[in-house]
Amino acid sequence: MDKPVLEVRDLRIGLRADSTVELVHGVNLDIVPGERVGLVGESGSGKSLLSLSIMGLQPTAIEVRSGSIRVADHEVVGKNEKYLDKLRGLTMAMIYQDPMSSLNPVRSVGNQIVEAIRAHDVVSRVAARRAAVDLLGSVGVRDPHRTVDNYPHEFSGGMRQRVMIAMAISCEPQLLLADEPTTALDVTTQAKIIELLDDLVDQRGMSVIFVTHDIALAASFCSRIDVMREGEIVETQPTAKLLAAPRHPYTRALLAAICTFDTDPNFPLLSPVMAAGVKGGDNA
Amino acid sequence: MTTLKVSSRRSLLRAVYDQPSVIVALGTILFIALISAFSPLLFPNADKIDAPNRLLPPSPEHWFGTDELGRELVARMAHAGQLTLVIALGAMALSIILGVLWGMLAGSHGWIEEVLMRTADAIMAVPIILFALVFVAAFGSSPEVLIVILGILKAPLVARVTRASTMVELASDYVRGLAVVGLNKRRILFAEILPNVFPVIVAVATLNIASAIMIEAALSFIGLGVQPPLASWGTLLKIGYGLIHQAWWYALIPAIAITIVIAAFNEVGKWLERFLDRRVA
Amino acid sequence: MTEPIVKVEGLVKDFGNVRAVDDVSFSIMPGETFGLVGESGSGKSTIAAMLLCLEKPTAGIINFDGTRIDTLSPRKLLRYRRRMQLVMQDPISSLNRCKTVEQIVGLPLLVHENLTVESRRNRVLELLDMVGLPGSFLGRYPHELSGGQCQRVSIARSLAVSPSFLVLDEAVSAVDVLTQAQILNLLNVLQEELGLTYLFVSHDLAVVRYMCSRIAVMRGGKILEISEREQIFSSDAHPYTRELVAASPASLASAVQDHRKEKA
Repeated sequence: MDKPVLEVRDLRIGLRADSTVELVHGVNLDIVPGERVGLVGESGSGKSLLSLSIMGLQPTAIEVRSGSIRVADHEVVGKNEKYLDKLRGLTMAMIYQDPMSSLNPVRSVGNQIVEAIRAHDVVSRVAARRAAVDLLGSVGVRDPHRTVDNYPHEFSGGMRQRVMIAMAISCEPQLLLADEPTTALDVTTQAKIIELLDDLVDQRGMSVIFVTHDIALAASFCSRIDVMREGEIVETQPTAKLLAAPRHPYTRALLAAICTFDTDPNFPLLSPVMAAGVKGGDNA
Repeated sequence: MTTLKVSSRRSLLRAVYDQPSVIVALGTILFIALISAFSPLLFPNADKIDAPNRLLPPSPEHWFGTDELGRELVARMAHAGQLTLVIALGAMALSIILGVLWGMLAGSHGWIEEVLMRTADAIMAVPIILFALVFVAAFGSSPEVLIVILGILKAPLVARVTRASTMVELASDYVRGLAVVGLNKRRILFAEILPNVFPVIVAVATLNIASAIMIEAALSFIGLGVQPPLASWGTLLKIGYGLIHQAWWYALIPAIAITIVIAAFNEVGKWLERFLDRRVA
Repeated sequence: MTEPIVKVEGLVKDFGNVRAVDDVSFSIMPGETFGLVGESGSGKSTIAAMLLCLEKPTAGIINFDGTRIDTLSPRKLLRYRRRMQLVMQDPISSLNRCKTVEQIVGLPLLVHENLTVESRRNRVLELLDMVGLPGSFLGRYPHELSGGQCQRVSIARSLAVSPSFLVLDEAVSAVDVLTQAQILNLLNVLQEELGLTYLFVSHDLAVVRYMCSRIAVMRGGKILEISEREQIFSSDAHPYTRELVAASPASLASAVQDHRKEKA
């Protein structure tokens, strides 16, 4: 029936220069088509490294030590750049936190989308440009026929993020990795982008890995949440279940620590007992 | 992203270790500095005139040969090296003192910045020889004057780097916090910002030494610099150049020495620049 | 009838042609935590800067404890500086990287008081203890500390000369959730123990609701409304406030779950 879009088995990631340092310890992760998984963790938990490694985009100082990553039944670990280049775009794509640094500032937005399209498909420039305009329209960029020739700095933060989403989905990937895509945006803009992603993902039947430190945000978008901590996935559950009955003490601490609109202002957020039991935060 | 915390001292040593050329450069500088510093002890008879043995080529008895008065060239080189290095280091120190004050003032006081920086530009635009000529004509060419000339010539460069660094620091968060605590501008600049600016200055300063050696040698070579009876490598080069047909080694040895020392300081300075750049970024 | 500790009237700030703060007025009562909520560009940080006399208002009056402070000379202002302090957003860049914890926390003591080295050190140790940091941290540098620990150092420094008013400018926005909770707890404990008044500036409505008894909502340099804690959620609230509430991840979570249940 549904073959998993992503199968990660016993993945170990560490520093290239120091074999004693391991950053991700034997992670297993499966995603089926159409599933949205939230990868929630604090900074240093390894969640960004994990998502970058799935794309084969981990920094040169980092290496995948062992394990397997299969995207749409293609193995990613150990493959060379050429192979991965072909795989990216068609099977998987990524959107990042800061659209300004992931869009080329000296080329027009349309140009970059066209480039992305033509990297994976034999298509004429004219056809690719038409596709780019359509894409911009579908992500909610106003007046796409004109703005397609604008430069990234001519867009607002939220619009740039939409452009990046357009680029990412241009080749109809099966898996979309979103690494803190809304962290740099205002709350109202964030809500609109989440709404956009919600619609796009549904329309195109994409699977999503949504990496974030904000468990409430993950809960608003994802059907399943994997909680990551210090290089391991400590808990994975469907969203509603996780929120209602978290099993791991770390998850419980996380949920107790966040402020919701129902949190009682008269009581401390995290009891010292809970905090101590978790050895998280900044317990020295 | 995991942050890797490495102690700064360990990373400095590690970085040096990784670059053999820097080790060689540092070793060379140390070697020459020690020989020059201890030249009175190592070569006590540098001034022994031995006319019959004048202009002998290098040999096992006379390592660098002898000069026009029969003195050991090795000894002369060692003593001259002392003067060369002292002038260069003095110039470097002066350039730092002047340049840091200059740059910090320019970077923190908008109203005076234009004046200061355009003056810096002006000094950098003046041809070195012309500048030196005017100064020497007015004040003579003792080593002290030379230090002042070279110090002034090199200060604008330090000022530029300091100004840029100061402006970056002034825009940082921590400076806001300091203002709220109640520190005045002067205190912020000298007690809090200066320590952060200094590493970059060190890199520029090292390059300045190389430059100062070069300029001093050039000035001495054309007769504007160190005058006899004092000798620097530049003056030895000048004399040797005059005797180049009779004593090929007399010009070659100072030339090589100057080249090696400049290259060594340059190597260390450039590496420091790169190393500090990485750490700041 | 208590007097407000901070009173702001008709505050305006222009940067060239841009009006960052447009006719803002509010009062903060002693002992309360007053929230200033808004998105980027709303002017909240500029107001915080003006309150701390880091920026001069283009127009308007700022009163602290009955005295007008926006027109004070630097020398007179220094006396007020010890009563109002700041904790900033980025834990690590808000501390001078070349100074130790002891030097950082002890600096206000150097500026405002005349103590011996030993009494200064003792006071620093006392402050570190107050914020939950061990005395062994005295010789550490900011880059050797975690984000949360740096924020605690910032808080310790801000308390050094016993201020009565603290501006917390997105003070917990750049730390992890668990650390955030611990620091918020710490801030509340300190407020009770030391009788502090807080101005809590943030974009996170849920955190602001937790911490603040009164909240001012800002947009485009103007204050849209000032209301009590729970009023923010009532249907009478300003439309923009309601938009902020709806867009907050806390609300999003439940909204999307409902939406999905409907679709299914």
